[in-house]
Formats: sequence, structure tokens, C-alpha cells
Amino acid sequence: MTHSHSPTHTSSIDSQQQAWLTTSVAEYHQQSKRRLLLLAALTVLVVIAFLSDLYIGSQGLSYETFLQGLLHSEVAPGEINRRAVVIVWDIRMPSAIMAVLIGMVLAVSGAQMQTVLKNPLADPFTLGLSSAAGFGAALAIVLNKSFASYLPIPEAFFIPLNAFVFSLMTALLVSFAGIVKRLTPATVTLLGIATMFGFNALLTLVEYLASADQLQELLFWIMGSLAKASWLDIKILLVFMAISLPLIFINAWKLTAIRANEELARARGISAERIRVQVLILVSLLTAAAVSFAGTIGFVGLVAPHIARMLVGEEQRWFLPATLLIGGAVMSFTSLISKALVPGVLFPVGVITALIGIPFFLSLILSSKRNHWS
Amino acid sequence: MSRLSVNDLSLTLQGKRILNSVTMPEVSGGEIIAVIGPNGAGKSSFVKCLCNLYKHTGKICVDRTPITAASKKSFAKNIGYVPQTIGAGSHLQVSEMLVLALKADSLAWGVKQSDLLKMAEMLDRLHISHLQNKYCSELSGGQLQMVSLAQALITNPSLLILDEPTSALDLSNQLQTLALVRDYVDTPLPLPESHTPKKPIALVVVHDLNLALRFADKVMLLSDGELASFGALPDTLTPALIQAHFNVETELLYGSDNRPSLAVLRAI
Repeated sequence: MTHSHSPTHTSSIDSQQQAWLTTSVAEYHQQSKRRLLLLAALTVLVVIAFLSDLYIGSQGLSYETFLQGLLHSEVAPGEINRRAVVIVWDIRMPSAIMAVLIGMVLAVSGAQMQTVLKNPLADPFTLGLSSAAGFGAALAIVLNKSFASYLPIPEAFFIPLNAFVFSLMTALLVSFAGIVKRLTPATVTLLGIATMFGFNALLTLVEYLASADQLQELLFWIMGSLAKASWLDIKILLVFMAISLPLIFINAWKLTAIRANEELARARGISAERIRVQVLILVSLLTAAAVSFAGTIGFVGLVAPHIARMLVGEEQRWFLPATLLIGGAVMSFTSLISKALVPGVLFPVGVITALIGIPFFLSLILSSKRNHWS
Repeated sequence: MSRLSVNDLSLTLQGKRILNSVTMPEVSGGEIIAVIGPNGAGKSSFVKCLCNLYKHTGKICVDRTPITAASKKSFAKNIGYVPQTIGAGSHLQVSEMLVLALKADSLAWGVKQSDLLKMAEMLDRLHISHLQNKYCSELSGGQLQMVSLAQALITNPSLLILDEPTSALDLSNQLQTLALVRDYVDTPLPLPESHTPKKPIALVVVHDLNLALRFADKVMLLSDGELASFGALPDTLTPALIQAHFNVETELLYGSDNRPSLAVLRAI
């Protein structure tokens, strides 16, 4: 065989080629810098959304009073504006923080469900987790039955705990059925959709049995609300995030590889099945915690990852933080809108996410020519 | 990897026997082995077994030592695999695809400068530097195939496995791609830890028998899940053998450079 002998593995390369390589590497760094700036901009957006959310409320505070409350600043020597402090810190702060956290959790859960199941429609809703939580809450509200009755925990967790248990059980059931039966990602998604319809039917049945008052409470829960958020809820959610997020983040490269080409990833010795199950369990924990506190808030889990994907692509080192930030910002703005739409009236955030999210989402996907799910 | 052999490899998928006791005699570094055979012969399945994508029986030996459960992972690390179906996959840029190939099983987030240099070198070598910032969904099938090959080569694998690497390429790119593979296996790998430089091995599944004749050293003919023939090229690939397994009548022609090529006369 005759063949030309170019310096394939050797490092002796001429200067022109060297210049080429330097340009190429510089371009990569440039790209990274652009994305870093974008993440910084998103962080600023979250902060703006959060502060605006904090500023708006039924008790109209002037800008000055708001700052007095927020900063505990002295209005007279040794005296602070106690009313402003109570409104900002005790009434508004928990739900404003909760909005950001819930947004982040739902977004990252949706993103990773889409990643490991390779399905652009996967999110806590379509996999039945939200419906299961809704059914769990309904049982507690209407039939007064909750897992919480068997545990020594505060009354406040009567409904959330039931929602959590049902949601988590569903997630684990779907995941384990996937492992035991060696199902493909598409089948796991279908299983989730079947579960969703099942729980929705059960939910309707319980609603049928409910009294008018119970129905009102249940409806409020199902439509999603941040109004009941407490500092304890926030702490619990933070614990869940502190456990789950690092375990997801550490697999950033493997997740990128599995999503890019699972066959190739497996040939490289990455156990795709194990990572899939591991990540599904982690995001199930996160979702279950989120919906049990805030009810079923749809759409953030679906929309935020898609926006992140369009902005920074799907390398998880960028995709994960971008998803978190976009989720936080979207939820925070939604909370703001739910209060500002009609002054004095608090709309359920779940409804707002859908009403605002759908047109926005449609315009995004219809204007995008790229198809990366084939 | 200077020597590779496969012993008695069998594969059953969903109750169907796909590969039946396939044995590949020892091949050495610096050799390209063309894996050929009619559709459904088990070519892809065979190379996938080497990549540990299917649960199979039989032995794979590297330097005459069988691969065990313990050495599986390090064997996997030495393989550069170009799968048959590539697809746009996820929303990644070409540069990210190459860096990913280097970092896939890493837990550390950072990308080293040396990794980026490897990325740049590989783009340059495959003449796809202009695609660096393109998203994979914007590429043509042929461009994707080049990216996929770059992903396989960037880790400097000692076993290169290509499953129909030329299916989406035009004639000139087919020749260029296989010349690149030829060049790759002819050049010893830069392994700092070994004293004797080792050349890589390439297993290439191809449909085009003329490409096999032109670039490969040995041929492995699979038919109905069994090894039908194995040997050096061009002698092994006789018109009689081709007729028996591909059901076509062919004739060996010698060009002006005195190299053989196959002319297909008619189907039988």
C-alpha cells in the first residue's frame, strides 16, 4: 500500500498551522467567555425579578419604605420601621425566595428528564409526578387521610407530605419499571403519561366527593401557589437541593455524552442506564419536594430548559446553570405578574405560567429552524 | 494494542442467534481489517460486541491476554468508535463534540489547554476547522460523519472501529477518509509509558468492496452470522467467494497502477 506520510501524531507542526491552532483555541475561549457573560446577565435578571417580586404586594409600600424594611435601616436614631420590616421580611420574603427556588428546581428537573429520557416533552407534568402529588394532596384535603398522621411532624405538613410521598412513589415506580423491564426512554415516557392520566382520573373522583369548601382548597392547591410558603419550607427545599444538585452537576460530562450519542457513551464505558436511573431518582426527589410545597406549577419545567438550550446549547456545564437561572427568573416574574395583574388580587401562579408561557414558548419553537431531537 | 484476536464470539438478541461462534485470527498493529458481508450478516453486531455494547459470549484477547471484567474498562478507553447512525444528536457545537470525546467520563468540569490544542489539531487534520462553531444540527450527513471520525481519533485509540464510515460521503471524501485511517494505523502511537512504539489497529465495516481492496490489509467476510473467510487482500477476495456470498458475478481488473479492483458484471 502506498500512502502519503503526514505527521499524524507528531507535535512538529509548522508555524502557519500553529497560527491556525491558536485561532481555533482562542475562538473556543471566546465562546466560553460569551457564555459566562450570559450567565452573569441571567443572574442579574434573577436578582431584578426577585427584588421586583418583593417590592410588589397588596400592601402598597413606597420605594423608600420598602428599602427601610428590606435593609432594616433606622428611620430615627435607634428606631426602625417595624411595619415595613414585617411586610418585607415576614410576609413577602418567604414567597419571593420560594418562587426562585421552585422555578430552579422545576426547571432543572425538567431539563434532566428531557436529557436522560431524550424527549423534549418530558417534564414533571408529563411524567405524572405532578398529578400524583395532586392526588396525594386531594386525599389529605378531602378524605383527611395523610401519611403525616402516622408521623410526629407539624400539622403544616399534613398536605405537603402526602403529596410528596405520592409523587416520589410514582417517580420511583416509573424509574424502576424502566430498569426491571429494560424499557427504552420512549417507553418510560409513555409509562409516565399513562400514570398522569391514571392519577388525573383518581383526582377527579376525589373532587367529586369533596364539599364546596374542600373543593376550593383543593383547587387552589392544584393551581399552584406560593402564598403559603414559610421559612421552614424554604429550609427543607434547600436541603433537597443541596443533596441532589451536586450529584447531578458532577455527572455533567457523562450526561452530555449520553444525550449526544448514547451508543458512543456506552462504548466509552459510561453506564448510561445507571446514570439515567440515578438522575431520575434525584430529580424525582426535587420535583416531589417542589410540588408538595407549591402545588402543581406547570410549564416552567418544560419551557426553561428549552430557552437555556437555545441560549447556551446542551453542554451541561453551561446548560445546567443556565436552566437553573432561567427557571428562577421565569418563576419570579410569574409571581410578580400574579400579584400585579389586578392589584389586590392574587392569581394562582400555575395559571399564570401557562397563560404567559404558552405564547412565548410557541413563538420560540416556531421561529427556531434547528431540530436537534431527531 | 499490538495484537488483537477474537475467539468463539456468539451473540443472541431476543432469542435470535445473530453471531455464531465467530473467530477472528490474530491481527497486528498497523493493519486495517475490512469487515464485509451481505446485509444482515452481523457485521455491525460484531464490531458492537467489541465495543461491549451487547452482552455476548466468547473471548476477546489483547496481546494474547483475554479481556476480563476487570480489564473491560481500560479496553473500552482504548477504542475509538464511529457508529453507523450518527444523527444530529443534541444541541452541541463541533468544538464541544470534540472536547466531549476527551472528557466524556471525566468528573472534573475544567477543560485543559492541552485538550483544546488537541481539538484544534484534529479539526485542522480533518479539514473541518471552518465548522468549529457550527451546531451539529446545521451539518450535512457527510460533515457529521467527519465530526464523528474526529471524535474517535482525538483520543488516540489503539483500536479504531468504524461502522460504515463512508456511507454518507461523496467519492473524494470516501477516499480521503480511508486514506486518513490508513495514515493513522501506519503511524506509531505516542505512548510515553511504552518503550516500543505501537501502531493502532483499525476494523472497518464497509459495503464497497473496492474500498476494502484499496485500503485494507486483511478482510473478514461474515455471512449469516458466521465467519465465511478471513485472509490477506487482495488474494482472499476471489470472484468465486464473492459470488457464493453476495450473489453477484464479478471480475478482478488491474488498473494502470497495477492495483486490483472489482467490476460487478451481473446479479445472480
